[in-house]
Amino acid sequence: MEFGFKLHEDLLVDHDHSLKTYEELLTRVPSLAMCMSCGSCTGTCVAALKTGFGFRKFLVLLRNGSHRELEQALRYCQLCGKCWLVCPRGVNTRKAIIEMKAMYENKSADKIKADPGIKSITQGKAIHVVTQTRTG
Amino acid sequence: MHHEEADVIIIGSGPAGLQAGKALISLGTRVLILEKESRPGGKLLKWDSLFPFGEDPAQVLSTLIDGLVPCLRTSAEVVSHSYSGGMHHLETRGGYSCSANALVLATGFQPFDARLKEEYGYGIYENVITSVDLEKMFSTGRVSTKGGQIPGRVAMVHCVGSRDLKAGHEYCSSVCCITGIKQAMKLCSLYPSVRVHHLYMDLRLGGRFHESCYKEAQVKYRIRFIRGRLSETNPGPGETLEIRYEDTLAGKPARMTVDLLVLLVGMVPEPVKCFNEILHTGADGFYGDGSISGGFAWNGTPGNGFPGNETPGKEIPEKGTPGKGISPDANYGHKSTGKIHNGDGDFRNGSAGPSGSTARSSLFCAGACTGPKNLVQSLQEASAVALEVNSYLRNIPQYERLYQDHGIRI
Repeated sequence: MEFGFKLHEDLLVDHDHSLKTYEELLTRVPSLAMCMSCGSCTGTCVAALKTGFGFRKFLVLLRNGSHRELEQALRYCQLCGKCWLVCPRGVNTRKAIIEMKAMYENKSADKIKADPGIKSITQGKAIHVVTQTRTG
Repeated sequence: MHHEEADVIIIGSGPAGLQAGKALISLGTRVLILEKESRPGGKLLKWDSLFPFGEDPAQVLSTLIDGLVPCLRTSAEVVSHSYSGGMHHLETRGGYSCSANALVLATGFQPFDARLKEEYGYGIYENVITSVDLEKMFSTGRVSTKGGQIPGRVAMVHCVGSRDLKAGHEYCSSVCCITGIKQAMKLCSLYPSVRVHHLYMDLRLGGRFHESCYKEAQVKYRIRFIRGRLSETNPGPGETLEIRYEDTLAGKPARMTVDLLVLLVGMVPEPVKCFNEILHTGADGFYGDGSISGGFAWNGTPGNGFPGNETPGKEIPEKGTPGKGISPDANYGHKSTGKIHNGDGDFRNGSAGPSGSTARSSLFCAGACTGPKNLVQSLQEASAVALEVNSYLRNIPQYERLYQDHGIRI
């Protein structure tokens, strides 16, 4: 039924959720534990200028279990590795991004079938999604 | 009751008082240390381990107290102070009295009363505890919820009673961040299954090796740091608590269910009543004004005949009129205005500057009673204060004694 309005997605972050995905990534990129959220990575990121995303936020999204948002945001990374150069704690950010991408790629095959929203992103509507994310 | 005399009386037998006493004895002065509790040691008696390396406070205390026992007077709470004939006279609750030429206040601090932050639920929910309570639990060797369970998920809240206008304390207490990190690591090493989360606004880890504690907490113990200040505590299912806050790095409201909520309480000044009339406190309520020239040993009310100003041949610079002397005991007991730095800021009687032309105070302060500081800082300050006291007693202009000791000609 159509009421002419949509329900807003609940913005409350539930920190009771499992950190399984994050911990799985930690075993592959142990230096991830050292992030102190300084944001040097985002400050230097070329993609952040246009998208508002950067490595610091990737990590927040991952720890908060915002997988959908993260999977979309990861698409804008060009793997240039500047974030890795500036990180004061030596977090291997580039490797972490590659591993995150790989994780979602392995899992998203099923998702793409089940979720038309994600399918539409894969068909080249990326800019639209960015606008949504930034205003939402 | 009996009366004693000494060169210096130190009020407080916490780390600062003991360290000052030790240093003064080694400089050849006669020292008395008054402690209001029945046991010496101050806050050292309340902690189970010390940051950054988890040292045993009992061991630190026994090193500090070594050789000082003959000077210690316990259960001696100072209730009255007077000054006459170049001497400070103190009376304690038990009727014991003592006099000395100089006085060192090392009266420390009190932990913030967490019940004042009602929304955090201390005193309302049994599983909300303070860092002081947790330290007590560590001493018993077992940390558990009120129902006797080992907690699975713990949240530690930073800045409780600090940086909080409504709680009456706008300053940073400086030691709670590192205390929380120390306690979280201790908790994780006692119970590897426990997951600790820190709710912080900034991490202020200025001390030596404090940053490496933070890193160890992140890497070795996987302690999670969530940036945000606790907003409210609510009862959750069973024994649990539901806490609400903003994850400010995500920019979203957040919630968590915890078994135990630890409030990292700040330091609150605890001025000694009988000195209220003569000792100046800063806007934060701690002794002194926090300025560099005010130093750690200072005269709270220059120009009003403060104890010690009778030093022969020395004059007190009145506010804005350097060199204008005022006779001893002239306005003694005059309430401090708190404006000791107006005028041309020439106030420097207590400690700073090698100038011998300004009068000097016989009243000194050491340790956390002059503002939040950690154990190492308290000990360092107490040692420096002891040198100042010694140079006062021997009527040596400030620092000259230090230079002499090191064979430097000035």
